[in-house]
Amino acid sequence: MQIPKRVMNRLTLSNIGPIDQADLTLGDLTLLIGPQATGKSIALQFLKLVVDAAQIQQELRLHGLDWSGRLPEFFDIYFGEGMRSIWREKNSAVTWAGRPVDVGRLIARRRRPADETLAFIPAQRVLTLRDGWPRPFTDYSPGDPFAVRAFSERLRLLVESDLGANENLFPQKHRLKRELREPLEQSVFGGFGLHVDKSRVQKRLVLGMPGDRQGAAVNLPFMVWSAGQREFVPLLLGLYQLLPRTKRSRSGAIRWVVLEDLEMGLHPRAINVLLLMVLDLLARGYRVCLSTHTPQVLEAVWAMRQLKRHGGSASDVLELFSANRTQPMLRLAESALKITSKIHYFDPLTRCTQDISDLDLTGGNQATWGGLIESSERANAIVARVAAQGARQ
Amino acid sequence: MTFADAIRNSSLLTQAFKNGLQALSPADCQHVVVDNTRQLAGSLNLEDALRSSYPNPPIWDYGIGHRRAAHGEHTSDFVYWLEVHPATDGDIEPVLRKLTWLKSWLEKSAPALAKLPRQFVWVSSGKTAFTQRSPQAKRMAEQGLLHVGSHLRIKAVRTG
Repeated sequence: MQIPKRVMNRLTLSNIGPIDQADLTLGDLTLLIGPQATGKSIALQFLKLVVDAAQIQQELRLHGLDWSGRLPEFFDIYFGEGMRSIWREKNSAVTWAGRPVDVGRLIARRRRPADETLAFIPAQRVLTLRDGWPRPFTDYSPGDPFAVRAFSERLRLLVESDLGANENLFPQKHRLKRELREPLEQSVFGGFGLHVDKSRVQKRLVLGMPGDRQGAAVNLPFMVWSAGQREFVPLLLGLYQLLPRTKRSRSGAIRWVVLEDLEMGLHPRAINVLLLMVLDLLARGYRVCLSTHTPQVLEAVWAMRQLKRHGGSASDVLELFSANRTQPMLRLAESALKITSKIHYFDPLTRCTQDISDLDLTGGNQATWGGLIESSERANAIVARVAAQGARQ
Repeated sequence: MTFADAIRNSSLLTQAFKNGLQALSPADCQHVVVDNTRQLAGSLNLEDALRSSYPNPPIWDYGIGHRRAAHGEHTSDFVYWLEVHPATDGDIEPVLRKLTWLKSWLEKSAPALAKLPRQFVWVSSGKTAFTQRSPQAKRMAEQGLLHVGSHLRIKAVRTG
């Protein structure tokens, strides 16, 4: 039976953890917003589970984890220790693409090995580096979330592969578009490069600057990096995996990218470049799901929707992101104007999601973008009130 | 002082006071939500009242009085100076010019009205094309102008 297009990318969750009802139609780009502990991450991990159940099972078994086909044990392994409590046997339910998902059966049945189709970059990515080197899957406790352990393992394999054989991880020619590399050098690394330091027994990632006639080379270890740099390096490596330097536009069988808390620790200029990298992912045909707490991301999506609506051009998109108008960037911007975007607000009061994709600024959660610009609205209102009275004095 | 008295004290506005929201056009009335209509202290169509005396300057749309005193108290009425206008980026400058003119006119020609506590409010007549986070919204706030989206809600005030 063919799945109707309107439900093809629709995930619903009922009575799971803090969620009473989540109805998430996913676009090319999907944003999940809402306060902490409202279920955004749970929803994203369920998306991973429904599209990659076989790959998850395969990876867990590979590392000797056994849940004996039981759901509570599986949830404690997959979502993390204690998370079995999110599932209420009597009334928790999931649907994907318009069909009920029997989660118990999904994880109980031994499945044929399958390629990963969803790459998950978790919010806890900073924890994946220890002493400047990615931790292997087995370095974590069995109660740590699968998304973190699997991402960490992916990074480890990446830096121990041919990528890590090259001592300079960033900037690297043909890795990322030049128009993205250069602003990243300035906005995140302050002119430093990301290198593999092989001068010790234990390899490590360092931020380095070559020496000149006045002084010796500088190598800054992980512990002296800024918070933003520590957050960004695992993210960059995760994106390296998704943006292959070969002629292929995508990596393996991956079609979905989940990126939690995109902006973590970053300055708005760096977030701006990161958004361009997201557009690059979209231009390559990935579907991207983000969770975010910054109005900057929503503002960019709002502006792109308005540009699309009013017949804006690729040049307008590049101006929006202060990007150079080169041919590769114009092509990227051209495709950005064609994407569909969906925005879902996780409302802690109703414990339900609201589709606020219109961002039409008229009233309620739409107007404050799910609370993200609530403080701006309040600041404007107070200043306007005081200024209106003070104008006469 | 009441909103009605302040209007009648202004020579160009003696006939302009209307009860409730009657000074507003039916279309613009749709943009105002009043929690307690008993607290309305009347309205004024400034543009209609002043156009013949000032054919060229940009004139603000309306004033709406709101009673904030319990019966027998002498608290002045509050005035919402309301402009119903499209809200694109290009409309900010024209609306701010109107605001400058309004403030100046109130000081010079309607001092009784100028003394009433007030809020300058811009309501979008269509969609809004700037955000509360934008520098434009901040600049408006600095000048005492609040953009409230597509509706002005006049909240009820407890009066003892």
